[in-house]
Amino acid sequence: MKILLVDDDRNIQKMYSGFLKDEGFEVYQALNAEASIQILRRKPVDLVLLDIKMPDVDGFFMRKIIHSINPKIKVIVASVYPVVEQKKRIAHADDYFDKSQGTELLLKTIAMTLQKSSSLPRERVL
Amino acid sequence: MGVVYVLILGGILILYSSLLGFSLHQILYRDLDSRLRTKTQEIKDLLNAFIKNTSYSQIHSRLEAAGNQIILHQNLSYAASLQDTLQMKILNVLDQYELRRDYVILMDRRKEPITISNNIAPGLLSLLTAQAKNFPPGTKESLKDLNGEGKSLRAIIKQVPLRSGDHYFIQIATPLSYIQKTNRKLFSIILVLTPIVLILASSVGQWLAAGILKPVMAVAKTAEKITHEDLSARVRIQDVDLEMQSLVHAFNNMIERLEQAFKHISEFSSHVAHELKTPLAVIRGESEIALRKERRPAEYQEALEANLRETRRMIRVIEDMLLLARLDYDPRCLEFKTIDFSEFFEEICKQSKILAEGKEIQVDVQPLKEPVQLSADPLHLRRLFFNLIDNAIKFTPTGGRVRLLSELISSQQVSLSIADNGPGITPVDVPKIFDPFFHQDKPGAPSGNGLGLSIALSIAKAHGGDIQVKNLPEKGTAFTVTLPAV
Repeated sequence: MKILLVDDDRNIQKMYSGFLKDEGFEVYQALNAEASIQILRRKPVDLVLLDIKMPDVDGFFMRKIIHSINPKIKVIVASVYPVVEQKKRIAHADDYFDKSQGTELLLKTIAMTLQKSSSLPRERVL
Repeated sequence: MGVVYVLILGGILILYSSLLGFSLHQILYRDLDSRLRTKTQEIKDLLNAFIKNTSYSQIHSRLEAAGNQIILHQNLSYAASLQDTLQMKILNVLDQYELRRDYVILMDRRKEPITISNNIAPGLLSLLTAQAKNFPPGTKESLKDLNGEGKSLRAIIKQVPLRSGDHYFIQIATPLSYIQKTNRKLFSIILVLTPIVLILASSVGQWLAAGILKPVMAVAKTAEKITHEDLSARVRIQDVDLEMQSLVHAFNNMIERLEQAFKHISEFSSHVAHELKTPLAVIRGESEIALRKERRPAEYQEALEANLRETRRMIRVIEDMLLLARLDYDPRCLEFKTIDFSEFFEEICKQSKILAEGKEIQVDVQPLKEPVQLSADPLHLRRLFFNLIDNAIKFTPTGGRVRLLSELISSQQVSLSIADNGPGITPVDVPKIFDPFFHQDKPGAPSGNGLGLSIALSIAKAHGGDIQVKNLPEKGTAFTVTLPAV
């Protein structure tokens, strides 16, 4: 399984990439939207772990862009904001992950998202 | 509350009626007294006509005769006694001055009655003569209320001098029933009218108050709808009268400000949560990952280093937030003293060059020629400039240039500009650049906790100065700090 980590915080990037690699995932990293789009165009990514406080583009639009490249890609929105504050922004994502909730929950969230038969209907997405 | 107003109004009405009654009573009394004086004068004139050319010894009998002439005519009618012109005259006087219902007594100088009108009963006579006995010597007339024999009277005694040097007295008493009747009438009118006026006033008042209070009720209703979750409610200004519009306007403005303040607080706490939870997420994640399996010492060391780094980051955020709060809410925490600006500037420049070395950034300096003194807290002022210089170095590409320019704007103001040749600030971000936790949405923008510029501005303001920011036409950004000189 291939995961793309999109986060502007290098420390988080480093930590999650090491951890996910240890767990047997193939991990790509992007610090911003532009880099992540380039990776998505070239690599067959299954899941994007997307930080919604991106410097160059809002996570919500990022998700739209991801699906325009490949609608089968699952998106997990990751943030440290409480879920209630982010309801609107994560409404169109496959799942949500609070980064302060630990690595076990991240693994569980990834597993559950990948198990979902398919992504949301396209019309809801776009 | 309404009952209190009605009671107050009732009290005012009672006071008003009492004053009215008292004034009327006084007027009626004065009027009665003046009529009594006129009557006395008329009788005196008639009597004097009778006793004209009378010798002293005959005066008593003439007065008796004359008095009888006058007083006895009280019971006569015109038809029965139109015998001579004097009688005519007497009857005219009696009717003209309403003397027929009055009690008249003529007294000699010893105040013994010479003649009395025939409507005076013996009991009444003693009551009237008692007044005469108490006639104060040396006065010409006396007016008094008399009560007795089931009657209330107003009586006058007048001392009439005679040409011979002798004198006699005329006493006239008239019933007070007219005044009493008028008073009673007024009292009953007030008794009936007061409750009517009270009922009318309270209902009209309530009706008017309801009209006036309508917009106030609307404000209250809206105020009740407002909670910290929804501050969007406003009172519709077009629904209220012109005079209430300013109230509604002020109320709406207050809610607007509250809404802004709540939004600000909510955003601020959200930023705080982000700045503190991100390092915590790393600390938790690193610790969990390290503990997942047996690792090499170098890996544990790496995890511990990461945790230490994130802990420092959190401490810095907390310290910066505390400093910002102290600067904004308790600027007295600064310790001011007089410093030499040139010395201070030199020190800043020296340290800036050391900081810039790592990125091979050239630091150009333009010192001030004139000596200027500042009243400042050097510790905080240094923090201000290092935050700006740190920012400039962060945004300047390797091998770039940072300029530090000092300038004397006026005798009271000095400025220090920090200009870089970095990418500049996106124009829409310029007004937000000093907001706490603001981060420029730029790929590759260096990350800090977003408090540096807010702290710099707060320190400048605490010194009575300011910071202006502008993008330079060539390239880069310039932050200009202005400070008051002493």
